[in-house]
Amino acid sequence: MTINRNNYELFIIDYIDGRLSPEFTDEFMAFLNQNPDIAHEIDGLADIKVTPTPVTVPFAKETLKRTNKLPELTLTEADYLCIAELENDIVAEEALHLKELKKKSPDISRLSTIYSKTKLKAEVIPFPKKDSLKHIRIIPAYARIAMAVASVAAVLLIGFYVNILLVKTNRNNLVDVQQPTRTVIEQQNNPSTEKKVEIASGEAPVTKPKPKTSVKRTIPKVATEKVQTPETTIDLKDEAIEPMITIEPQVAQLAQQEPQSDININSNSNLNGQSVATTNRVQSKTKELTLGDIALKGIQKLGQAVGINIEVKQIDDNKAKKIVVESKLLAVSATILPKEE
Amino acid sequence: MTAEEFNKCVDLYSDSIYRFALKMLKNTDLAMDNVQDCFERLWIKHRDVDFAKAKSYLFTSAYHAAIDTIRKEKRKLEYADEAIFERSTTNGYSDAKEILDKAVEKLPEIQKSVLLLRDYEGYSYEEIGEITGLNESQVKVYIYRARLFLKEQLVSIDNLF
Repeated sequence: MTINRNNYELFIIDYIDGRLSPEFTDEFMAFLNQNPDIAHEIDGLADIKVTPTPVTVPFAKETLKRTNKLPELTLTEADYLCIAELENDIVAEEALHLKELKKKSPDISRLSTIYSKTKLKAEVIPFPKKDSLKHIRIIPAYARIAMAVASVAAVLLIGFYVNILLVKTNRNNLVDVQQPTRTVIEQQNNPSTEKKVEIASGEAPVTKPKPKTSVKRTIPKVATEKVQTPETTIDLKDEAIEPMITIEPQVAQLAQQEPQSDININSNSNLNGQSVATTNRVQSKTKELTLGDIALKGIQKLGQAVGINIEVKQIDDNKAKKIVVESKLLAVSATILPKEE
Repeated sequence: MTAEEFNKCVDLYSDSIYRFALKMLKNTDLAMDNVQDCFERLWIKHRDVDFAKAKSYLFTSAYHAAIDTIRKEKRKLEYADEAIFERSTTNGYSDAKEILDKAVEKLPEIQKSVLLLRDYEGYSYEEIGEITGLNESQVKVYIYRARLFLKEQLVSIDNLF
């Protein structure tokens, strides 16, 4: 690098500090000889120095010092032996040596006494929230009772619901009590049977259900019908099921569709003024189930399934039934009143 | 360990853990949090921890939790420590026990831990090593250093009177 008037300043500080290499020093001196104005500028520059003024902080330096280290302590033989004795970590030879030291110097005995005071004595500091730490899994009595009741209630409700669903879905097939049904269609299709049928109007075979243990029902005779419907005696063994009369609308519709047939139909006017045929009423008898009956069946089935003892008791002179559910946890009873007439 | 055994651990060791945490942390709230955290951790692992090992598990947990807390709360604890020390020195020392307590508080955490476990709980060097993660020799050295420091404190105070 050639020193010229544009870059000479780079070399001045190094020249003053004496850090300029010999080659550059020679070159720099040659440059100064060629440029006396710059040499005059540099002259005396090396004598200019800033000297530090001695200043002391106005407070003790020790207050600023921080350390986590403890002062270095030298563990002497006596210290070691005393601590080992206290820690019960002393071997027989060391114990003997310590004993001799104690005999020789009362200071060693005093040292041993001081060390014995460094043994920390456990204080009794009870933890104030001890109970909050415990994990108690004992469920309170009221909670257990509530859970048991809720469980039984839930099971019963599910049983009722399932039973109701079953009854609804199978309603048409539920009970068709022993009375053979004869319809007009059957009579038409059966040539051997006299087609002329006269049905006495107003003799709808509506019978009131009677809550008797054994019910005998007599179907009224048809006046001019040659093929008589035989009297049928129905024994409803299941006392809980009461008969219900259903009307099959198909019969009336078919009768209206074939007015010219030989079937003698007495017509009645209904509320709309339309002629409603009353045919030889089909004596269809189905069992009428009350909600209580369904509930009873449901509970009985449920009881059989889960092994709970369920009893049905007749109360109030057999007018009402009382369902009693008994288990280990609780006893529930429900009274079913008879259907009001 | 069953729930019943866990509850038995609460009865047996919660006071000891609390005392250890209180000595380490010098703050009742932090010490109580420490104890609750320790037992919560034990409950989470209670099926895997034997009843016989529960105390060691609790102290290990308490030790590490205390060290973590000290690191987190170092500035606050230093301030509290200084305040306590100033109050004590102002009022004067009442007895050797108080002097010793103050001296213990001035010990480094590791020395204080091993000394507390040694003197309060009676653990062996090996057991303390298991709790603190140190080897037996290190434990021994820390205990010796701690006792030497306590002796110096007792002697220096003794010389004042």
